[in-house]
Parts: sequence; structure tokens; C-alpha cells
Amino acid sequence: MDDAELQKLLLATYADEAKENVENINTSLLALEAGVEDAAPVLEQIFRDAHSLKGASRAVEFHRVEQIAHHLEDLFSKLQSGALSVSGDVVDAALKALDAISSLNEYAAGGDEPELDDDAIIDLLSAAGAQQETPPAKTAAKAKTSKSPAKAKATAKPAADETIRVSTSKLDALMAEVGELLSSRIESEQRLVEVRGLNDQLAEADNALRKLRRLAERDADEELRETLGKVTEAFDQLRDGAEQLHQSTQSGARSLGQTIGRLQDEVRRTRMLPVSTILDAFPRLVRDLSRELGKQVELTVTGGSTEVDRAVLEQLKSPLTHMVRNSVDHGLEIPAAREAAGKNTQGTIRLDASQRGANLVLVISDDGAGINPDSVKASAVAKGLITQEQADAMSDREAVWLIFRSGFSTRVEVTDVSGRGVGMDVVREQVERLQGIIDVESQVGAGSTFTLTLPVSVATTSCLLVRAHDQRFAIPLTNAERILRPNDATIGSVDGRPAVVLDGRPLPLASLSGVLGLPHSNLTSDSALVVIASADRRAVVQVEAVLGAQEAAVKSLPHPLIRVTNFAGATIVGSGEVVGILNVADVLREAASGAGGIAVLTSDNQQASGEGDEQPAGAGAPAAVTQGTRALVVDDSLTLRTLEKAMLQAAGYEVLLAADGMEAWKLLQDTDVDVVVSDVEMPHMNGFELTKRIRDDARLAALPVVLVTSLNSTSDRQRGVDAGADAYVVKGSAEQEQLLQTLSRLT
Amino acid sequence: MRGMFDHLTAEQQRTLHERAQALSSVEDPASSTDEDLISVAILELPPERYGVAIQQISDIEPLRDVTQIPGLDKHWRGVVNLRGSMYAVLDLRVYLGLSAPMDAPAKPKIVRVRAANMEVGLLVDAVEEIEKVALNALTRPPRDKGAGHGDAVRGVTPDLLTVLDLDQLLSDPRLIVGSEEGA
Repeated sequence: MDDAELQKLLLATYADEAKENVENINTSLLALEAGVEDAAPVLEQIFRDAHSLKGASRAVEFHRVEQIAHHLEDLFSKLQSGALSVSGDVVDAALKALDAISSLNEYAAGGDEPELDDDAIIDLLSAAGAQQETPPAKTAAKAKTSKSPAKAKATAKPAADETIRVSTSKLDALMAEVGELLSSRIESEQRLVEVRGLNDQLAEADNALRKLRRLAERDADEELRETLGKVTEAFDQLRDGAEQLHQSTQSGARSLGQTIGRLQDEVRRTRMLPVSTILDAFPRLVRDLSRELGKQVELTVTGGSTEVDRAVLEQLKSPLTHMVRNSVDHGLEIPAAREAAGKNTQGTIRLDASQRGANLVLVISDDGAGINPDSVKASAVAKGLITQEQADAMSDREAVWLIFRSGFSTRVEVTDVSGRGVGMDVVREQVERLQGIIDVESQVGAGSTFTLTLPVSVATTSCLLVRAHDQRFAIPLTNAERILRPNDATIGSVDGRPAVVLDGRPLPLASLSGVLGLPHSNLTSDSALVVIASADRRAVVQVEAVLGAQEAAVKSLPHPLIRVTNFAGATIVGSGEVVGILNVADVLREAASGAGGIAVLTSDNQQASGEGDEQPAGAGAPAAVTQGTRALVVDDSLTLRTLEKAMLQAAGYEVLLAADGMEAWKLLQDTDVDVVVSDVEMPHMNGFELTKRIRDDARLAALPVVLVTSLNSTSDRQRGVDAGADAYVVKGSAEQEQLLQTLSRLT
Repeated sequence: MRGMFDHLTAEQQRTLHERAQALSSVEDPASSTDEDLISVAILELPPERYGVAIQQISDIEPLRDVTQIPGLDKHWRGVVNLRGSMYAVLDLRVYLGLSAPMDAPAKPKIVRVRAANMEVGLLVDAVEEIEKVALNALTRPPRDKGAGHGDAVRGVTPDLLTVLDLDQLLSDPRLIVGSEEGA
């Protein structure tokens, strides 16, 4: 390694270490400003951090940082000695200095040279340090300082985990390879199914052969009997071989599946970063902005350890920043107004991150003034986005959603720098690009809550497979909210177009094949309705059948199909076929513009009328489920659990979940359920064992158990029956229907 | 040449031809690097025959399981999985504006080609033989032949084989679906 390379490496290493120091000081300063019980150890720590920063920058001859750090160290030493107390101005100056050091460090790590007036910053620091000449009675603090060196030592940072630097491109390549493995896994499962099929065929052939032998035994022909005997022997060997093949394929597929699954998880995790990576910047943002605007704000951040793919995280920064800025600027009132309204002068903003299934859920809520439906309506009418009549006809709930409409905010002032003019329509676009969903709930005077739901990973996506016009399509599970059956949906019409009323909101109803430009079909009681959502839009699409869920390695459509409307990409399924993955944002746009209009024509539903008002039709047969029937769904696949839960909930069941037989068994010990729906192949305790245990237990013996599985051989069914299952449903296209019928029969 | 081997099946003829190719190229390096002679595979779209440089051909596979993508122009048959990767399939007959054949082709093929910085599959009725074509013996096609794809045609041989320029053909901007801007 030559000097230039060494220098580069040194600077990069320094930049990493310095970043940590800067972040620590940042957090500590904010804590000190907010007020800590025992400031002494914190003051000691920031002094040390500034000192380390100074030393490290000197070691790599980064003089600019050394200078600023030196002055920072001075300032902190004054704070520690008690000559200076923590005031807004002191913290301001220190934070500005930290920002300067950050930009310089980024420059060192290979970024652009920042425009900085080093002297101005140093002056600021000196000025802040000179502010309080008279040391307030701080002898007590001094005493504390001398007493607590032990404490200070205790707060020394624990040894950092060993790490190595890996370029993101290497991780991306690794991720891509693992994505390919997913296809291998699906293929091996397919092979297993084929081998089983082969085995079944051999069993049938065996029966025929035995029959032939029996017939031949009556025949006198010696040679015929001998030959048949030989054939039977050979055939038996063949069957043995096939059975061995089956066993080894099965265990091979299982261990391959498990290993690939684990490998995928681990690789995915290398690309994942905790959400705190971006959330950590918010306390500072809120502090600066609230000071600027004269508001008092407390920010609580939770769930920072939730992990998200780096790519998604990067793109989250912008919309989150906009939303928090909006909360501080528009949401929260000034202290005087809050007091007049009987609220605390200090407003609260809550940022929470959590993982739900394959999704990241971010909640941003404030206890501010809320969104005023009337002013939103007025603004929308003034901007020509809706007519006065439409505004008058809108409910308050619907009006709030107008903020997401394109053109709602005045674009002219919208830049990242000014920040404050940015509207929710910009945020909506960003969320749409991430293939996510945004929800809002607001109450005038009480506050607003925004919820963002985004896919956690970009390389592989859990998808819902559906069939429309005899063709298969995949819908990303993040964007597929619910599955309904026409009989359970309240179908009516709005503005002359068919709609489904869900949670008090009418959603446009369209046939998926129609939306895609294929001949569309009419709604029958056999159709399935899928509620799809993207950004702020929702709709209900009718499909011929829901085929199940699958994890898919997402690939873009090949060249030169760069951007095809309605399609986000494609994936290769187990059989080797290509299945298109829908771009739900596009589909929603098409559905909203009237494509795929559907005639609702079952004997139980009235036909969509041409009138403009809502007419929720009483749809179909009464639900065959008594309120509160509780089902326990057991499956080791998260996707399948989610899918089955959605299906059963739509049918009216209350659903509990367990990830394997053991968990289910434990749950059954202290929770009452009315029926168990279980997969067979699971770790720790499979479906057969679970069933046996249930049957052997005095309390649970009569509990209905339905096994749902892809194992479809006579021997497996037999095992199911032997174990005591009440029914055995094989996964496939008729699964949903069958399962629901079976359940209503048993409960 | 053709008359001599009429009693053989097309497959056998092709095999023999390929062997002849291989042998001739070993013994006579000069002629294989001769700029005026290129080896082409003959793509059949009866009644037309098209020649495509074999260097640009990656693979020939029987047509199977092409997934249609709704909303694409008619000349795109769909997307297919070949050896684990996805390729767009261009229906050459539709693209070149030829009329539909009298009988449906018995065993259509997808010819995976590499040209103009992309790899696509060309859907044709059949692939027969490989021939050496003298470029300087090509005649320019009449104006109307090629249905507006004049640039994509290099010329026509004396025995009415239309030699295609794949780089030109696949550079047709009309083939590009969507841009980065999106819908």
C-alpha cells in the first residue's frame, strides 16, 4: 500500500470513529439542554469525546477539525468546571460546530468539500464561552464531579463489536445471488411434488400388476407366470428405489429449504440497518425547528431497533423529514394557543417504528391542532382540485384525504432547503415510489396520526398469487390488504360506478382483468375480491381465484421493456413460468379512471345503478359464521399465516396464530379456541403430532382439527386420519373455498 | 447443394452442413475471416426466409410457456424464462408485418439473439440450416419489402434469402416500451 492509499484508509477509519464521537456529543448536548438529573458524568463524557476528536484529527493531520474540536473542548471544559452553564446559546454554538465537523468528516470520507467559514464557527464558540463571566454557585457541582470519577468510568463506552468494512456493491451482489437461490428452493419443492406424483403413479401401476398376477395364477402357462414373477420382482425393486428417492428428495428439499431460508435471512440482515439510523437525526431537527418557530416540542422516538433494508431506509429520510417538519410547523400550535385550548404548552410528537409481517410500520403522531376538513376543502376548491359541489358532498373523513392530492401544496416554495412548504402530496408520491401505503387519522383540536406501511426488503417480496382471465399475476403482499368474498362484501355504487363499502369508505370496484386491458368477467359468488392499496389510494379488484402466497425474487422486466404500465416486474415461479408482478399504484390509477368497470350480476346483489348516491346493497346469504368463532392457525410460514388469517377474518372468524406445533400446543393450554387449522410440515412439532396430542388430551380431545397441507398422497391422508384430524385440505386453487366450507361444517 | 441432399431430413442436412462449416473453417482460415462472407442461420416465416448472422445467435429453443404481458403492442409475444433468465419475445412475423400463415407452425422456435446492446428472443416458425452468404452478392430490396423496416434489411441473396441486420432491427426506437419517466 502506498502513501496515498494509506492516507485514504486512515482518513476513512478516522471518519468512522469521529462520526460516532460527534453523534454521542450531539445526543448528550440535547439531553443536557432538556435537563438531566446528574449532569456531571455527561459533561465529563462530552469533554472526553471532544478531546478524542481533537486527538484523532490531529493524528491524521486533519487540521480544520482539530481546530474546531479544540475550541469545543475548551467550551466543554468550562461547562464541566461550572464556569459556564448549559444555555440555549451554548448548545446552539456547540451544535453548529458539530455540524461543521460532520461535514468536514464527510469530506474526509470522500464527499464534497463543504462551504464553511471555520473562523466564524470558532468565534461563535468563543463568544458562547465568554458569555457568563460570573460563575454561579456551582461548588456543589464541583463536589459532585470529584466524587464521581468512578461513575464516569462506569459510563465509559463498552467495547464496540468487531466490525469490518464491506462495500455495499459486494453486499448487493451477494443479495442477488441469494435471490437466485430462492428459485432453486422453489424448484426443489416442485421436484419433490413431482417425485411424490411419480410414487403415486407407481403405486397404481403396482395394483394393476398384482391384479395381473392374480389373473395369471389361474392360467396354466408356466412361462407366463414365471415372467410375471420376474416382472413383479423388478417392479418391487423399482418401487423401493422410488420410495428411497422420495425420502431422500424430501429430506433434501427440506434441509435445502431451511438452509436457503436461513441464508436469505442472514444476507438480508447484512443489508438491513436499524431505523434509528435515520430516526436519530430527528431530535435535533425538532429542537432546531421548534426554537426557530417559538414552539415547545417534545419528541419521543420508539422502535429504533427495527431493521430495514438500507435501500428503503435511504428513501425514507425525505418523507419522514417532511412529515415531522409539518407536525412542528403546521400541526403543533404555539404555546399560548395550546394553553388557551387547555393543553400542555409543550406539544408532543411521537415517532414509532415496528415490524408487522413483511412490512415496516412507521407512525408519526402529534397532539396538535389536527387537520381541519373545512379549510382543506376550501383550499382544494380554491386550487381547482375539486368543485364546490364535490366539497359539499364530502364527509369530514374524506376531506382530510384531500391533502394527498397532487397539486394540493403550493409547489413554488417547495424545496428541501426551505422545507416548510412541503405538502403531503409530495410525501404521497415518495411513498408511492416505495410501493408503500400511507394512512391518516385526524381530529380537530386533538392532533393527527400518519401511518406509513412499507415493504421491509426490496430484493424479495412476498406476493399474493391470483388468477385473472386464466392467467396468473402476483400482487405484492404489502399492497394487498384484505381478501373478501362477494357474499360478505357490501356492494353498492357511487357516481354510477360499482363500489364496495369498507370501514365506512366506498372503494371503487373493478375487475382485475378489465383493468389490465383483458376481457373482463362479471362478479359471481365464486370470485374473490382483493382490497389493494398504494400510497393513499385503495380499491377492490375482482379476480377469478386467489391461489396463495409466495415469496418471489423480484426481477425487472427484460430489455427493452423498460416501463410497462401496471407491471412492477416479474418473477419466475417453481414451474419455470414467468409471472408478472403488478404495480399496484398503476392499477389503482387505471381503476380510478374507470377501466375494468364491472357489472355486479349475481342473483343476490342488485345491479350497479346509475344514480349518484350510495346504495349499499344487502349482499347475499347471511354469514355462515357465528360471531366470535375462534380459529387457531398454525403454519411456520409467516406469509401463509398472514394469508390464512386474512382469509378467515374476512369470513368472520377471530384468528389466533402460532408458528409451529409446539407454540400452538402451549397456546392451547390456556386459551380456548373453536377450531385448529394447521399445516403439517413444521419444525419442533408437526401437524400430525399436534393432532395426536390434542386427541390424547382430556380437555381438548373434541377440538376440531383441520390439516392444510401440500402433501397429497394417500399415505399422508391416512396419517392425518390416524392422527385424528377431522379433515384434510390440500393446498391449491380450491383451497380457500374448501377450507371455509370444512370449517363451517365443523364449528 | 440442396438438390444433392434432398433425401435427408432437414435435421440431417443441417448437421452435415454444420460439419462442413467446422471442417472448412479449420482448413481454410482465410475464407472464414473473409469480410464478404458471413454465416447466417435461416429463420423461416413462410413464405419468407430470413438470414441472421450466427455470431449474434446465443440459443435456439422450442417455444413454450411465454407469459403474455397485457398492454404491450402486438409484436411483443411476452416474456419467457430461458435458462433461468427472463427475455422479451418478439413475434418476428407480426413485427415485420407479414400476413398470418396458412397453417399454424408445427414447432415454432425462440431464437435468442444478442444485438444493439440487448438480448431478446425472436419468435419464428422454424430454423433451418446455416448458410454462407456473400455480402457483396446481395441486392437491395425493393422499397415496399420489409414493411417499413428497410434499414433492418441488409439485402436479398440470389435465392431470395432476406438477410437481416439485427443491430439495426433491434435499435428501432418503437421497440422500447416506456422510459425511465414511467406512466
